[in-house]
Amino acid sequence: MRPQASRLAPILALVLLAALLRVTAANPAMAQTQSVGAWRVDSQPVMDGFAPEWQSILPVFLPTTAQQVTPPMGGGTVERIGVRAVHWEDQLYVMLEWSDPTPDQVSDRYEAFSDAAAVQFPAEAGSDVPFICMGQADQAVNIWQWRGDQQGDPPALPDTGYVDMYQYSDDLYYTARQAGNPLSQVEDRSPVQNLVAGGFGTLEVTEVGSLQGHGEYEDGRWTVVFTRPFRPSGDLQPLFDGGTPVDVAFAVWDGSRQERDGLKSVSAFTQLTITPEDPPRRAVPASQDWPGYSPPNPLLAIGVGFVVVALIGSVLGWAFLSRGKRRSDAPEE
Amino acid sequence: MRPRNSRLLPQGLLLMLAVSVLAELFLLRTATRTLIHIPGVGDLEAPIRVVAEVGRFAYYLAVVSVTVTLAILGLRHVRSASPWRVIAGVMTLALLLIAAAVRLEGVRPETAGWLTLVVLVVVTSTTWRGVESIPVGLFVLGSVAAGWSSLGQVAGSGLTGTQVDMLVLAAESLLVLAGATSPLLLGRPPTRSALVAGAGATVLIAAASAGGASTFSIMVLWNLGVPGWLPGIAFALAFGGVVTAIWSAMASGDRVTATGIVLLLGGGVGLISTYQTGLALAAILLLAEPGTTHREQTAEVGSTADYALAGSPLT
Repeated sequence: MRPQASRLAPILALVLLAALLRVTAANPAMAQTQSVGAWRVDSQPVMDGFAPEWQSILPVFLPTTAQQVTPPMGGGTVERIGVRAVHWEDQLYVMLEWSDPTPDQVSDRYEAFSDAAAVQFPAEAGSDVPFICMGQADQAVNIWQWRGDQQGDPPALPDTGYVDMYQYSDDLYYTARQAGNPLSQVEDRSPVQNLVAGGFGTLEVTEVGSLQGHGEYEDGRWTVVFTRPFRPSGDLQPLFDGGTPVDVAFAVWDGSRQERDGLKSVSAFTQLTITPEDPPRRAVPASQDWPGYSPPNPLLAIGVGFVVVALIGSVLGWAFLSRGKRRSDAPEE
Repeated sequence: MRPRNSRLLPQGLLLMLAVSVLAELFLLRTATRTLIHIPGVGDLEAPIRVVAEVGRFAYYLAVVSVTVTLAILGLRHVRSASPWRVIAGVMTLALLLIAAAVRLEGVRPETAGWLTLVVLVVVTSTTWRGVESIPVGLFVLGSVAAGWSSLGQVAGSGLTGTQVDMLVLAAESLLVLAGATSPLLLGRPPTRSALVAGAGATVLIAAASAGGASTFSIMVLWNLGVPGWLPGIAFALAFGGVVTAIWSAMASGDRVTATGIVLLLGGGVGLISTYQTGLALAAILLLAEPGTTHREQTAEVGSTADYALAGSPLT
């Protein structure tokens, strides 16, 4: 009886220690994922990501993959996003950059989709990392989304276009506009949406507040700059206090490759750390970061070849080992 | 049959570590992110919260368990007669100090990251056991590539985008190779039933991946630290290899090998967190233990000379 108790006591002690850590939320472990620094700058950053002051900052590249959790699944045509971040007078600026052969800023047909980009934070900075796809029931997320088709004026009707006259001008008859769909508004248009979600099917628009975003397209690349004050203007949006790293994930859509909704390229969560240090600078030509970027398909074939070779090697290895083991075990029997 | 030394660690601790890591992996990292697919999720909010909470507790239990495990394994190696094992032991204890230092902000995360990679490489090298260690070697090389792809971006003048791509692809390829070759860890051919199970797992994952109705890719990105650029069939083969190895190890009573592989899965490649790095290091040490014959295992019973900690209250 006593030996049994003495065996259980240390186990029980470890269980209690784990419970204590959980209750106090004192996590002894520390994230070691790729970290994005939000560096201090001395002047207000411009919203053009191609400006030298942005491009000279050392970027952090994050691999992305297709979204394959919930329908509609797919995307993944963009395989890498470059991220830079700075802060100025308690205002956070995040710049995304990615390769895209075609700028898609007009979604004037059912089959035309806009390029877009999004940044996702846990609703509560410093909390446990929520599920990357729209958060989860007990952990909401705040998403900033920029859409190319919402930047600038609504597209004009092409010369060959034709639209039926609509006899009513009251908003009541423009149902989407009346319901508050931000994409249907003709006044106070904003290229960014401020969204919150606590799981699939719960995504909803909240006040844009002081969130801003601007995209620029040049030489086969998009840059999009988001900015928001450290202090949020509403609920379920993180406070950036500079002391705690904030989890952050990114997504981009390539409209001309039919990406919209869940069809997109997503990164894993990484961490954004607001730091008082100056940004590290470099002078690398864009061609070394975005060399006419295309998915490394030939290398995929090489990878598969490696696997096949490894399998053959494994079989040979088993044969070799089993022969050796039989030899070494023989005297024992 | 030469299962690894089951008296290497206190049995209660080994079991608790394996169970808590599996619970954390499947409940916190997987179930809470996939249960949401069940229709009528609004009605299931309470059960999902319960599952998430159990998963979070399992996470804390796994953190505590792996810390104690590393401390015991590190001390055992330090007290070994082999200088190589002493080096591995010192490095293991050093990793615990590094993890504590980075938690207490006593060392920069980037510095801790580079040191972590050094620890993984040195421990793998000093505990190398030939062909049986190949999967672990591939895994650690993958970790170095993945870690380099992130740490290298903020060091010096950084990496170019093309260099990052190559490192990430190398990490993913090495991870797949490690999985596909994992039956080598057994030190003998897998059992027939394990081969059938592995083949079944391969077909299942390959079919799901080909059908596009799979959460596999996003789970790979989330849990294993790579983006899933390789075709689904590559991951299916790797997963089949892992299933084969675990099945065969369990069938032959080799709990240490089975636990080691589970810890590698929980750890993932690259630098994700100090907890997951700890899992990977514990796995490397467990899988580096030589197999023991039945005669050796029998001789171990009652002997505390070689396994001084076997008599601890945790046994």
